[in-house]
Amino acid sequence: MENYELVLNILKKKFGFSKFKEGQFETINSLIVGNDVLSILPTGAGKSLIYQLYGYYKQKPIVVITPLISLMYDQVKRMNMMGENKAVTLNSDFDWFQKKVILNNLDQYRFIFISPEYISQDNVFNIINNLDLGLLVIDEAHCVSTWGNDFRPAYLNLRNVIKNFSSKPQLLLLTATASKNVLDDIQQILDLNKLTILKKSINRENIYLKNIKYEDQNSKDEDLLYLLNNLAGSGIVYFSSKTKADEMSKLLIDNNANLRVGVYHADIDDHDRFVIQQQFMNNEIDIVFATSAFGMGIDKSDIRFVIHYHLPQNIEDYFQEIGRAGRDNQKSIAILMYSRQDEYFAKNLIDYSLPDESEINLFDSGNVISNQDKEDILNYYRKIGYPKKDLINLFSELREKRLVDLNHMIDYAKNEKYCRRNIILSYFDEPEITHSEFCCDINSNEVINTFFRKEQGKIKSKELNWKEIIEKLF
Amino acid sequence: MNKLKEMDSLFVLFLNNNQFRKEKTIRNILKGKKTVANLYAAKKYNLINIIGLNKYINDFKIDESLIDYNNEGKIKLNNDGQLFKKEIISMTNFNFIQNNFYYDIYEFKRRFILILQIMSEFFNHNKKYIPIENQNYRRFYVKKWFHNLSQKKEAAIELKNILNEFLASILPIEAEIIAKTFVGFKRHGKTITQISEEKGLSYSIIQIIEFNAYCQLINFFKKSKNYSIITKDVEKNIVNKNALKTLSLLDNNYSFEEIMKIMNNKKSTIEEHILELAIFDLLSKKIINKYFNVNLYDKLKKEDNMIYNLTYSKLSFKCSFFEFRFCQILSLKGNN
Repeated sequence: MENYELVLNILKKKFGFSKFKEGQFETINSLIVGNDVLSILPTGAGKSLIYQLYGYYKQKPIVVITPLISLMYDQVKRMNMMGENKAVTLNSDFDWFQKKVILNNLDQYRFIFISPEYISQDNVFNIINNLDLGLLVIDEAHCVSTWGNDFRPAYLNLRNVIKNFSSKPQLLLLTATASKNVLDDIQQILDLNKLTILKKSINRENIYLKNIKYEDQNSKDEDLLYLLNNLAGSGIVYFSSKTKADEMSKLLIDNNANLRVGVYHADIDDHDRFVIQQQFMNNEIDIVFATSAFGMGIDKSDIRFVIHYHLPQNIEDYFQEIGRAGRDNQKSIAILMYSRQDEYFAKNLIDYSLPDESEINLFDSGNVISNQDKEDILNYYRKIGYPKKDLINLFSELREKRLVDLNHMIDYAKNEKYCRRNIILSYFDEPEITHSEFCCDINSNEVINTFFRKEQGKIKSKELNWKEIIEKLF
Repeated sequence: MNKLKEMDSLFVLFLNNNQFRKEKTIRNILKGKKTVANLYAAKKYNLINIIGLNKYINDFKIDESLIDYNNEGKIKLNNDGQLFKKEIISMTNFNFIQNNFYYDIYEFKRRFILILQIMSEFFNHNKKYIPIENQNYRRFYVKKWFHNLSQKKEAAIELKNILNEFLASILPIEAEIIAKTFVGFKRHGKTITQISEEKGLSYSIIQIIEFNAYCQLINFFKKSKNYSIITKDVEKNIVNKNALKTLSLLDNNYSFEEIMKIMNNKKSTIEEHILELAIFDLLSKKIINKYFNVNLYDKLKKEDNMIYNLTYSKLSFKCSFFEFRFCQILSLKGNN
């Protein structure tokens, strides 16, 4: 109780909240008593607050290993916004000089966000090793596992990183999606057998699950326009193809000039990404057409709907993405639009993302392969001395595994009989719940109407002329 | 206007209706490939100012209905193309596109927007905002500048004045478009796609208008002491450093052989330096006279009065390629 009052005080003072979300205090408390913790919390549970608050409690530097550079920047920007200026990122964006300046002053920072590749570099590790660390955080810990869908080879090396510390730091591993296989794998790969595992149900009761089947692409497009014209509130539409996202955005605008839409994917430059993100956060646009690049680090609480135009590659990704809806605990809806063609598209994407035997042979004989991502991953394995034969087997197994995952997703999309929520819960080894009307569209198809807007759509605000814009700025 | 909404064919800007041009060469110019052959082509097509424009705008489509082909596959504008080009040119001021040649407009824009955001938030006493810039080096650079800025409020007012003066000086559509991209206090700006939808103009047209506006804006910051950071080190190297060394040696009367030795370069490399310097009009009359072969020039003129159109491999006589290209470059002076 003494701990509770103390950390609640920090929560109020530093973050402006009066109570913890489920799982936050349990994790912090377990850290306070000295455990190494693996915390599995649902999307939107406020995982980053855990290590931030613990950092203030310990008054020592916290190192956070993060897989994506954009996620690091996002965290640092957000901490800056909360008034925390002692947060820094260390990644490949820095040139030699900038890196040197930061490393020389690393003890001045309280929160250090770093990529797994960077912390594996000797000179960087040596400096971090000399800091009196309060906590070493492995964010998105499922990336450690080859069974996980976001497997990153550099995460494998974290076992050595942890071992090489002259004084083993306290550990916090965070993830939102981890089945039993993945959990076992994480502990085995990192050689951590005394982890305290805290797991909260990943179920998001306030998100209604609906699937719609289509025979052809045209009816799917028409229905998407219908849904967007009628669904109330803000929403995200996920696509697996950038071109399709662009195309549908144009179609929507041509059909309804009043809808306020933004497009967000890897081909959009970072200036425009910032603009779209901020407009969405500030309710200046209602809908974002995006690829999976959008959403990581987006903390908008009142997203009312998430639509998947294409079939996600696995249930983990799907559940993570729909979890961006309804973080304010208000009723929200997740719609999966499924057509047969999506299966082939998803299979192609899997093939495209993993090097096959011929590409591995090509790479091995010193040739350049056309896909940069594949080349990077093969370079990594070459560097750590992985034999070609093992590599072929590894990627072949990985491909098989991804196809199995995709098949789970296809089964989920095709299902018309069983409660959708229970399918997902059992996938994550969680106990089933009692199906209710507000759960999924099995036996309760009319619920979707409650998500339709009752009044006219939002009216676009008046556009300012340049003189008015300057007056607003200054 | 409908056509301008649909049309993304900004490639027309780099073509005209009386000279057949090679598409691939123009694409190389846009990419910023600075080989002598490419630079010569840029000079010949009068496109030196757009070298490297792809850094800012990377999608220049071609609309087949606006061009004619010759039997070598080269292209020029047809009447529709010419009309479309005129329509675009009437919408924005292309006189300042030369700034693309002298400055890295992309870097300038990124710095400007970040500084505008910082100054606007400061002016409105808001410390809790998300900075637009992701790149560490730019953020560090600007942060340091802001920290050292002694009279911040006055600097913010100066920025407001510069922007008012600038926006009043450019075409109304340019002012409207560039102002929509501005980011600051309670304003997150608009994307090119959004402006394009609002204005009913194609993405590419909005992009080129915005680009031209930034080309003009840079001139407004050159004089400001407070904001010298925005233009500092955004100048491009017009000529490569080794060519400039060669120029310095030429100006100091070193012989060709001596220059080869000092630079530790092959003959062909020094020749390339001289050609590059000639393309950018950096050679003095004295040096031009030294390398200009008058007899060859006359001989070439007999082959074709427009020497710049000749192809070396198709000449009826043999000569040095260096001297041939040198004559061609000089012949362009009259052409452009």
